[in-house]
Amino acid sequence: MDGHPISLRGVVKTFGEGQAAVHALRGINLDVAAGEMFLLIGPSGCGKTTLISIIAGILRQDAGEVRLFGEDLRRLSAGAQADFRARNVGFVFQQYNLVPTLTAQENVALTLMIGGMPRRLAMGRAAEALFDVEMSDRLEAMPNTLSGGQQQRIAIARAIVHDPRILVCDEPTSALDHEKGRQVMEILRAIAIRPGRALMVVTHDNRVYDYSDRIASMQDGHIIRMVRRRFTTPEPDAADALHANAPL
Amino acid sequence: MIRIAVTMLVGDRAKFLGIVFGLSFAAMLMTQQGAIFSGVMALVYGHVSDTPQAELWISDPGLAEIDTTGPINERELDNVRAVEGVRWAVPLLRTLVHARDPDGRITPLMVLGFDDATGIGAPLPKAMVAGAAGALQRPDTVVIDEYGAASKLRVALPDGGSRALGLGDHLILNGRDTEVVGLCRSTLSLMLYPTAYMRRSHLSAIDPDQDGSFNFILAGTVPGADAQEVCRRISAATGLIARTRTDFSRHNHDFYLHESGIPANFAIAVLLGFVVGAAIAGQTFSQFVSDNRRIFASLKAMGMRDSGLMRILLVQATTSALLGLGLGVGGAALFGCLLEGTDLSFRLEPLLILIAFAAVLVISLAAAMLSLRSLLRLDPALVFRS
Ligand SMILES: Nc1ncnc2c1ncn2[C@@H]1O[C@H](COP(=O)(O)OP(=O)(O)OP(=O)(O)O)[C@@H](O)[C@H]1O
Ligand SMILES: [Mg+2]
Repeated sequence: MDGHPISLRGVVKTFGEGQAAVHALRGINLDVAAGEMFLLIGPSGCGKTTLISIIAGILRQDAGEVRLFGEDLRRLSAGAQADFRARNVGFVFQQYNLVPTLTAQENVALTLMIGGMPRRLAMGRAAEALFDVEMSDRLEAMPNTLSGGQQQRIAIARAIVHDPRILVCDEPTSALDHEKGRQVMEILRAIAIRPGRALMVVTHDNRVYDYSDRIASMQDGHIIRMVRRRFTTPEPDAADALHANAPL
Repeated sequence: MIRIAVTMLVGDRAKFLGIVFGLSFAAMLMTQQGAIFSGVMALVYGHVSDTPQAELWISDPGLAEIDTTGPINERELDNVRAVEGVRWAVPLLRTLVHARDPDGRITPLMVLGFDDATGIGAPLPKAMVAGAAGALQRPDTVVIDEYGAASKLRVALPDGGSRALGLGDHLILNGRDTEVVGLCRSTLSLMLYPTAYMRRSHLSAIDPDQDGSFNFILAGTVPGADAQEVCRRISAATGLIARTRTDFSRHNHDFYLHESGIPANFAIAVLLGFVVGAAIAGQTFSQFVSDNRRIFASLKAMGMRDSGLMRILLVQATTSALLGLGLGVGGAALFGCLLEGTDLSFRLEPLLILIAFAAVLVISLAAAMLSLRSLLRLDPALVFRS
């Protein structure tokens, strides 16, 4: 587990007890590298969401060890865990989960404000992040006036605006048609992959496999196969060019 | 964060209205009933308020309240006048008399028989709206309060309608024909009896039961005298009980507060407002939080601490409380304006608004705290479930 940003050993998660127990994860060993797109695939109910919830620090494993950038979250207080997420984790959801009563820009700024940044500063950074996802013309838009693809782009901006070291996306394209899904994956590839950042995407959608660098297949709580794809980590200087003014 | 809290609350229109409705309902019922209560309670010493010249009210020591007291005689009046510090003292006969109108209908009147010699206790000139108190020097004359004249004492007309009792009309008081020579403003009595004013000698004449006695002595003190001290001296010297006008007002107020069913009835209405308002607002608030749990779960996943969630709920609770208070008190005040010139008395005092504010704040903060418990237990992993 040395050196890998995300490292899991023997991770077990069971929901319920006795007869009704669901063994969602049955002993996961996994190392995720930074600077590439890591895809997690598998049939419905195999444990993908459970796994990334644990990696994102919002669910606690029953057994085994999880280290995120060397940190064992179980050793942190609840408040410190929240702070860890606020600083280090970005989320993209299938259902976008934007706050419907806030503008696009405010939704993105929210991430930074939760991390303690003053509103004015956060709004400025949010505008920059929305520029990166090609939404700078919709800063003031309310989420319900936007298409699904646009909302997901805002969600991506929200997930990366604080430059997290871990970015987890659960079915980011499943609610979108093929073309919109492709755009979302392209944006993720273009702006979300960074040296020093672990990017995990859970998906059912085999049309997006081509965008990944590595694919893990899950079945029934196990990782059964790991495949390296033709995409390679972008050259560090290319990534730096994309994020010239965002410090790591 | 204040903005997310407020927009979230206001954005969920139906629930927002429900919460504010519940709180304003509570605030309105509480202030409105409270204002009527305090208005009604002020009626019990209305005649004290209407007689500002009287610094001291002296009565039989057994007095329960202004309507329940014993007789005082001339000898006792002389004794009071002899007490050091008493500048003047005059009798007041206050008694219920049956008035029969030309149609034969009987109405009870509260008649104030004021001192013939000084006129203290008669309607003040500024309170007269028609006629003059001076006309009461003629025997068999009376001044009626304008509210009574326009309500209980209306005169039937041949065409089936009616009109307010007016100057020159006649009433039969205890069998004796009496002419209305004036109309005045006067504080209503608790029982809403019309108030009538006449000279004590005339009142004694139509009410022989009184046998020349009266039931109050109104007194003034010499300049610089300590009114409380004068009261103690009067009580010691005469066996009567003397109170300052403030103490006498409070005594009557407290009597009705402790001895009547009035406070209990208002308390029930106020409690009902509080409970119903709390139930509506509390239920809707917890529904609001539960409906928005996905947003809260996202905030939690994104690293918002419990204290941040609590702040959001507190902002939402106080926003609702302030709005509810404003609308509720506004509604009560509007109600008070509509009551102007009717039987109901209405006194919207600052203390009432403060109490209502405390009540809606308690309701909304309690609702927020209850919802906070469910938010703290909320599983942030919910964000990945559809
Ligand atoms: N909170 C929970 N309580 C009980 N069972 C749960 C809970 N969360 C997940 N499960 C169960 O654990 C198993 C794995 O669920 P998980 O959501 O991780 O699967 P998934 O691979 O993400 O499936 P999908 O592709 O349908 O999203 C499923 O059988 C699911 O029903
Ligand atoms: Mg899933």
